[in-house]
Amino acid sequence: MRIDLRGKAFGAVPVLGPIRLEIGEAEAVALVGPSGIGKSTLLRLIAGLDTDFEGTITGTGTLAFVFQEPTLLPWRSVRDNLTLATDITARAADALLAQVGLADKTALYPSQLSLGQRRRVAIIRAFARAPETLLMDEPFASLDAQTAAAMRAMLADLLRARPTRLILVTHDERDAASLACRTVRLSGNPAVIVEASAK
Amino acid sequence: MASSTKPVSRPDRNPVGVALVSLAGLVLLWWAVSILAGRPDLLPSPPEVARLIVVETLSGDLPYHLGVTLLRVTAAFAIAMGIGAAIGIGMGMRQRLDRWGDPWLVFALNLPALVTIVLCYIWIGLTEVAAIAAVAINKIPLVVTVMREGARTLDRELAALAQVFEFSRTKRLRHVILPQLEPHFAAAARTGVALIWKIVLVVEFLGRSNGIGFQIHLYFQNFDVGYVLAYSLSFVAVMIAIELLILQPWQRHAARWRRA
Repeated sequence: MRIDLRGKAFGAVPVLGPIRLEIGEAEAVALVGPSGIGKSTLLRLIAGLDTDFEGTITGTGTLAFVFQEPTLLPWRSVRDNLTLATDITARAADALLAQVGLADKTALYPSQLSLGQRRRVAIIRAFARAPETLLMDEPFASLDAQTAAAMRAMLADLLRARPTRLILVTHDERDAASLACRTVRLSGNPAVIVEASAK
Repeated sequence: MASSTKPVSRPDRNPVGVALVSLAGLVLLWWAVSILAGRPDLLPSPPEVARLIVVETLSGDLPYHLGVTLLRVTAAFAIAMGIGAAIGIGMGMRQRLDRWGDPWLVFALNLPALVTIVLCYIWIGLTEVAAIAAVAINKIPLVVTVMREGARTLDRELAALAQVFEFSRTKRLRHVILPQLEPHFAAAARTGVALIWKIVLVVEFLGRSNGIGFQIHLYFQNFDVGYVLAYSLSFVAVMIAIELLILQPWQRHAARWRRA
């Protein structure tokens, strides 16, 4: 996958400067940098949610996105949230939910789950799509330290079981370390890559 | 340690019972006023109006005119909801359409119902099409307004989810957009039914030869208040039944996930 960005602006305000990045199959990259620098904006460009930019992004393949908020359909059951978004069967959805410790929650509505459980549903929904590129935007934000650690371990297990290209936006260096990510740091105004660890 | 003596308000345990007792109070008040007035030709008592309802029902007149009006209400309601929802959602989701359409909407909202009815009868003729069109045209702007507000508040992150996970157009509409609009549909439907049947009566009053509005016109010419009340209250009862048996259960069903 190749990102060749010449620039991204909101109106007259440039947010991202020239960014060139290549990410291999099954490679994990953590985008780090200060808040508001443009990490989430870059992720949305990669996802195709914002097409108003100069440059090209190619080779993403099938995408899945784990948003900052769990972003589940509140009027559908946990199981339906998986089957609707990914076209897998109800049985397959139940098996995946059991894998992340939600076997007894499949028929509940998202509002009946804790934040940590909703985030688990969002993550397993993304894996259920069998994506070539998995985009995650601060997936462990607002969780207590213990839950966040358990979630990191769960994500590492899922990635081991199904190697996937991962682009993770985070401000927490522990996320990058626990997932053995290549770290790409954004800084400046407009933001550019100022530091990238070796592959 | 001081304890609070402030009374705590409790929710009604039986809201239907409260509603029935409240309505019974209204009937008793009407009965008392009719006795005090002593003019049964101007304000007949509830038993007298009930007797007229029975007489008209047994003769078949009341069910016939009630059915005709109900059909007009249903047709106008379906047309107004369909067209109004489509325009409202379009305006709520597309800024340019909203900018261009808003002045038309303000104009339509301020057009008196009577003007629309008279113009429809003049332009189309004293026909069923004109009657239903006049009612629907009166209701469409209100549906547009409610549905536009709903469409403006659609969740952008859910839209992003549908885009990234490549939901089909049908799936997006059914599982992402319509559930968010359901409360607005319900609000538009409930206020719509209440408004539409009142306009239908005016339309029938002015230019139809059947329906509750026509019967009210007929008995108005005879100054027969008893029959006017018998026909109008019968239709009010039908509309309350529709509200209680169809609209409210639908609204509860649509909102069941909120109570989970």
